[in-house]
Amino acid sequence: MDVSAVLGVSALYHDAAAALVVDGMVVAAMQEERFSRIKNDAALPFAAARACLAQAGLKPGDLDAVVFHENPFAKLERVLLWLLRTFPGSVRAFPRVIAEQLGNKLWVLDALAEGLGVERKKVEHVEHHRAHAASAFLVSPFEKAAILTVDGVGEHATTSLWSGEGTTITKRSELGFPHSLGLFYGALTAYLGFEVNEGEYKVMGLAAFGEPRFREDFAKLLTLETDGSFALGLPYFAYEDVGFSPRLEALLGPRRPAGKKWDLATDEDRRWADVAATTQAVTEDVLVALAKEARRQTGADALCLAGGVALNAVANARLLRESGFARVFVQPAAGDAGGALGAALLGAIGRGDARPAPLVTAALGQEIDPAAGRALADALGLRSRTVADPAVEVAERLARNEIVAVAQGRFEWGPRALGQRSILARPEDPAIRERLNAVVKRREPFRPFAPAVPEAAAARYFAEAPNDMTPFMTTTCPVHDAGLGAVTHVDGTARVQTVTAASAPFLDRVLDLVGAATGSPVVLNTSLNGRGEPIVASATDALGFFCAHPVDSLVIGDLVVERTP
Amino acid sequence: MHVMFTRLTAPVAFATRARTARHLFAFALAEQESMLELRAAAALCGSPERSAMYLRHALDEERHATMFAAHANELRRALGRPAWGHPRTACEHLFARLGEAGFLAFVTRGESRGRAQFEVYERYFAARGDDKLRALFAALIGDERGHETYTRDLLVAQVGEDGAARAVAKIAFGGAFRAWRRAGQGLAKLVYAAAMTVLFACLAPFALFVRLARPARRGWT
Repeated sequence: MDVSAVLGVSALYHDAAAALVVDGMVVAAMQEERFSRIKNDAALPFAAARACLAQAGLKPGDLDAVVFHENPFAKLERVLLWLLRTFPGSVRAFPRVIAEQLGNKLWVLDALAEGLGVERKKVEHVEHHRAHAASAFLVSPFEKAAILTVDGVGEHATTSLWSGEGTTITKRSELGFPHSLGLFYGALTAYLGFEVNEGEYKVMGLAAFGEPRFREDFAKLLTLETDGSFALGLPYFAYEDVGFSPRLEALLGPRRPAGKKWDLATDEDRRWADVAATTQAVTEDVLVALAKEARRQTGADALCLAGGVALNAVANARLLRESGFARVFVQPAAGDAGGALGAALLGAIGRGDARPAPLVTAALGQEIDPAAGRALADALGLRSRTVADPAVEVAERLARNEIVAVAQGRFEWGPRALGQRSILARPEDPAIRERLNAVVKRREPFRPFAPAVPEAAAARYFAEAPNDMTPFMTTTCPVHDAGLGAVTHVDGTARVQTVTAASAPFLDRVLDLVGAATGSPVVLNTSLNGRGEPIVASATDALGFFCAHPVDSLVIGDLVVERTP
Repeated sequence: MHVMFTRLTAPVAFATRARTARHLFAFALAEQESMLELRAAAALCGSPERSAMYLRHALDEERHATMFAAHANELRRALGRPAWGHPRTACEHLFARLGEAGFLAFVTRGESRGRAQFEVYERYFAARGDDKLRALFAALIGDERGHETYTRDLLVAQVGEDGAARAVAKIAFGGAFRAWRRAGQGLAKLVYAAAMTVLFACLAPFALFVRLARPARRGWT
């Protein structure tokens, strides 16, 4: 059998990433933001690509192919069609959009060849939604599955149904731009005063505080058909700036000013919470209808989901309950970053590689360097020491109710910290959540925190866990245990991570030790980053975080950094 | 020259609350960009001691960015306009592009100009009786002076007094060239906008054709 080294790349919209598949194995997958320190960085991911190659001990010349996650020529066609269809309303967007397309996006394949130092003939592209579909199915545990890809827009498609079997992915049907569930959710995210492509999680968290009482109004925004397809009420949306037109405000009331402090005791903020709840409910309805159509078309028992909308963990839980599929899988970087993984896998399989083993861990990033951390901690004058067993140290500190930052092994693929770059705390006391939200993460008070639990113990604390999504925190589960106040959202659910020695060995050991010490092997697990920052990658980033945020201690590999008393 | 220009333009830059907010947020973006440059320097410089200095400096810049953004957002909210939130920007990868000595010369000069500018603004807001903004600038001057001193010391340690002077002069010349290029870009933008508006008007028949031949479709295909 031929072997190959294929680099997949996604870039130039948001969440640029690179992924490397060697001999049919996913060797590395990293987002550019972890290196550039610019959240959701869209720039061509040369740093991430170099780090992926270094992980495999390869040079750019060793690559058989570099595969970009979308077709830049088809994308230009869609953009031109949209500018012409909305003529003359597109007058303001026209100069900017043309400059973007002709300035860099159209030449992305050449830029990749030049920037990476590979021959131009080795750089190719695949369809955006096919890359998403591959990223979900080819690393899933299923031999056969329906695949649903839902995002803002790829080249022309916004939603696609596929069937997957073995190494073959076949498109069944698709919905075209501008009818897009991603753009619908994004527009309502902007209406609620959050940043698009960043604030969607906030809408999801906020939704639990509201009632979906605007369904009648939302029927004008989105029409769901009996075959699972849907159409947007186009006059309410705008495809530039904020994503919605003045008619949306006329329908739902004034938008929420960005940056205004939240107070859910006020009528005004409760109304916006109700808008969030309706947005979430309508999105879930559409996803369930799409999944049912996917099941009807494919007859499969398992569903793989990808695209930015697949990061909606609350909707994924409802899909598992109501869509009729026995199993649902969502890989950790289901958004645009995931396109890099899909592109690499398609390139590798196209060259005769076997399908990779199912993804069991998200630790596909760069390794932490405790020695560099030790030298820098000394230079910063921080109190630090080396310990024989860092898991014991972390567990003891958690048992003492400390908030502990950990940086262990290779960083995670995707937006979730899964024990490699995490802040850990005890899950019982809601006051911990308040402290984390107010002084460590400095974010909205309604944002929930997630629990991590050993897979074997998950069912004791959470209904519907473990399942195929829980290792990657891409779904939510009802909480059984009333004692888990810091990680239970207002709707009684939690975005659970189930942990095994294979998925996150350090965290697995910490959970065992915490369980032995306290009787409950559950910890609060949130990402190791400050407000507006990407998750920590290196020891330098971790120490920078420690210096600027009041966590009690930081454990980098076997190095423990403590506050000076 | 720079100080005089800053002094003369301060009443214009801060004439209204909206302009003040815009100006403060521009500072937030500049500090954030500087933070990214310093984080990159901390990662690349290869010396734990200098990495620690750059990291401390980066944390200061991040704090400054947050302070400027908080004041700008507060003014925006007071005007009934949406806040801009946390500053988001890219960086120019100066350490990788200029090397460590060039990077230090760039930062030394930037900190020196920043300190001089902040001193002018501190006096300006004191005279205007705006204690809040006076205190904001006053709080940052000490940091800027410290940054200027340590980066200059590092630069001198690397290339000597004469070399440092030459490196800073080279950066100053580069700065003038960048300003000239920015002015050119501004002019090019105007020409581009005019040309694209004409081109857009010429698209009317194509727009009609597309609506007939390639209308947006609903439903599955």
